[in-house]
Amino acid sequence: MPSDRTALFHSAALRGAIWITLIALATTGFALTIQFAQTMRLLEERNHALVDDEAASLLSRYRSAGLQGVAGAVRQEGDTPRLNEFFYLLATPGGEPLAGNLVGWPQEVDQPGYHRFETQVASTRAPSRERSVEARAIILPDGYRLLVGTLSDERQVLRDRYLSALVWSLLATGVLGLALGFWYSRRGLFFVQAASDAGNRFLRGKLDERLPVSARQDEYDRLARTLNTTFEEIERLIGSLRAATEGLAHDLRTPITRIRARLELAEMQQADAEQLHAVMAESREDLEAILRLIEDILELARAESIAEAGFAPLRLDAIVAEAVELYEPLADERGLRLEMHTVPAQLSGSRSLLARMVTNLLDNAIKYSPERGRILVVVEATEQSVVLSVADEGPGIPEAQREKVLHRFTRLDPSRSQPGSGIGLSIVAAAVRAHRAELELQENNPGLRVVIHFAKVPPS
Amino acid sequence: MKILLIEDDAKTAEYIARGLRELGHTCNHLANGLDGLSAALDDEHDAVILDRNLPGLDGLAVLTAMRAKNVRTPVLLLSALGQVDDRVAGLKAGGDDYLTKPFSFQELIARLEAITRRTDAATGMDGSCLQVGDLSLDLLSRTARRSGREIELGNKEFQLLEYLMRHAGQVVTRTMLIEAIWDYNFNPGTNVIDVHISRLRAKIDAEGEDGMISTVRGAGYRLDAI
Repeated sequence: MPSDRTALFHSAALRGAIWITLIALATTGFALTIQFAQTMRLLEERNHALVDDEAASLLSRYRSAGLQGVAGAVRQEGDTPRLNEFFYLLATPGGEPLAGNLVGWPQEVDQPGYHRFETQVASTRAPSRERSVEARAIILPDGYRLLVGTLSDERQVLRDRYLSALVWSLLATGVLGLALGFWYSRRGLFFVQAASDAGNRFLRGKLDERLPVSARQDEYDRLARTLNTTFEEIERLIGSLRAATEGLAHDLRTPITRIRARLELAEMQQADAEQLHAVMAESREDLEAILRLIEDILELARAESIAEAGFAPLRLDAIVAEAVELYEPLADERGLRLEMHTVPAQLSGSRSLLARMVTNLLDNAIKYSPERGRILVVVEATEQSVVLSVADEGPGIPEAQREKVLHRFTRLDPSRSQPGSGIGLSIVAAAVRAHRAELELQENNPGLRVVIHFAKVPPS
Repeated sequence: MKILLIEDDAKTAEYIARGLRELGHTCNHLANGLDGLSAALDDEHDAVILDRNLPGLDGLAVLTAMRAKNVRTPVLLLSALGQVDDRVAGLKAGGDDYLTKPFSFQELIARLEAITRRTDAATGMDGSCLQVGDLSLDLLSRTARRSGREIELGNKEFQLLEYLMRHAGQVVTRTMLIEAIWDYNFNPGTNVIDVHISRLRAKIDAEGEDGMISTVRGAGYRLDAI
C-alpha cells in the first residue's frame, strides 16, 4: 500500500489538474501575446502616420522653397510647442546638422527609412533623459539628409506592462487551475479511494461490502452500481457454492452410509444368497439415487452455462403442452387435476432448457399437491412479453423463504423426507437467468404460484 | 455379436469389454482413432462403440471417414460432453445413437441392441403396419388392435407403443423413450415414464390376457410377442 503522500503524486486527479493547468497556461499566454503584438502594430502604424504626415509637409516645402525653406520650417516647427513632440534634423550629405532640435545625426541611421533609437531629450519641465525615438530618414535630391521623428516611449511601457501582465496572469491561472482542477477531480479521487478500500475489504472476506451510490446518477454512480452487482453476484455464488457443497455432502452421505451399513450387516450375519440379492437390489437403488443426484448437478452446471448464442425461435406453448402431456398420467394417478390454458407464444430460447424448466415446475407442483388438488398451467402473451405460470394448492412457500428456495439444495422440509435432490428449482432459476426472464413466487391461496415473465423478441 | 470398441480410457474400455463378454459377445478393443478406423473399415463388426475424444483421430472424424467409405455398421457414440449440440453433431455425422458418460451398462446394452436390430424386430410387416404377436398397429390410421379388439390410444401412447413394437424383444430404457418420444435429452424427475407405461399396459392388456410389456429391473421395459 503506498502511503498517502505518494498516493497524492500518483493520483490521476493531480495529473488531470496539472494537464488542465498547463492547457490553461498555454492558452492565456498565447492570447496575451497576440494582443500585445496587435497593440504594438497599432502604435507603430499610428507613429508612422504622424511622421509620414510631417515629412510630407517638409518635402513639399522643399519642392517650393528649397533647402533654405526646409531649414526655416524645421526651425519654426522645432520652436512651436505641439501635442506630439516631434524631432527634426536637417543635415549636410556628410551629416553636419544644419537645423533642428536634435544635437547630431544619430549613428544608427545609415540609410533612408524608419529607424528606432535612443537619445537624450531635454525638456523644459524635466532634466534631460534617455527617450526612445522613432524616426524616418529621407535623402533629399541634392544629397542633404532630413530626419523626422516622434517619441515612441509607449512601446517600452507597453512591453513592460505586457511582461508583468503575462507573469501575473500565468501565476494566477496556474494557482487557480491547480486548485480548481484538483477540487473538481476530487470526486473521482474520493470514489476511487472508496472503491479500492471496499474492494480490499471484500477481498479480505467482508462479502457484504458495497460501494455508496449517490443521488447524482453520474458515471461514478453507474460504475458503483456495476461493481455492487458484481460483488452481489460473487457473494451469491460463494454462498451457493457453500450451500451446494454442504448439501451435496449430506445428500451423498446418506445413501452411501446406508450401502455401507447394509454391506457390514450382511458380512456380520454371513448372509445367504437370497439375503445378498436383497442387499444388492437395495444398494442398487441407493446408487441410482446417487447417480441421479450427480446428473442433476451436471444438469444445473450445464443450465448455468447455456448462452444466448445457441438460442432459437420456439413456441413456449408447445413446450408446455408436451410437458403437460408427459405429466398428465402421473397427476391423474395421484388424483390431481392438471389444467392447462395456453395461447400461441413465440420466444427465443433453448428448447431443452425451457423443457427442463417446465418439467421441473410440474414435477414440484405434483410433488407438493394435496390429494385432489388442482394444478393450473397458464401461458399468456402480450405484445411485449410472454408469461408462464404454474400454480398448485400445496403448502406454498412462506414469503421469507422464497428467495432461499431458488438456491441450490434448498428444501424447506429439513428432514429431507421428500424425494428429489432439491436442485429442481435451482435449474428453473438458472433457466430463467439464461433467458433474461424474471421469476416471481406468489401466494396462490392456498399454494404456490410460480410466475415467469419472458421478454418477447420481435419477429425478425 | 461382434463389437468393435474404440475408447482410449482404459477403465471405461475394460468395464464395457468385460460386460460384453459376460453377455457372450465378442469385443475388439482399440485405444486410438487411427487403429480404430482401420479396424472399422474392415466391416466385420455388428456394431461400433466409438468414443468422441480419441487420440490420433477424433471420434467424429472416424465416424465421418467410415460413412464416407460406405461402411454402414451401426455406431453408438460415447461422450463426456452432454450438450444438445454435441448430440446433434454426432447424429448428423452418421451416428446411430449417442450416450453420455457416465452411463449404466444396461443403458449401453439396450441401446446397442436397439441400433443393431433396428431393422424391425417385429418382422413380417409392410411399411404401414406393425405386428407383434396378436398386437397390431396401423401407422396410417394410427389405431391399435389386439386379438381383433380395437384399442384407443392418445398421441403419446401411440408413439410409445410404436417405439416398443419397433424394438420388440429388446430392452428399452426410460431414457431411450424420453429421447425418442419427447425429444428430451434429460431425465425428467420422478417416475413419469412408468406411469405412461402402466397406462399403456392397462389399455393393451384386456382382462384375462397376458401382459405384453414387462419391466426389466434396473433397466427399462420390453415388449414381447406372446
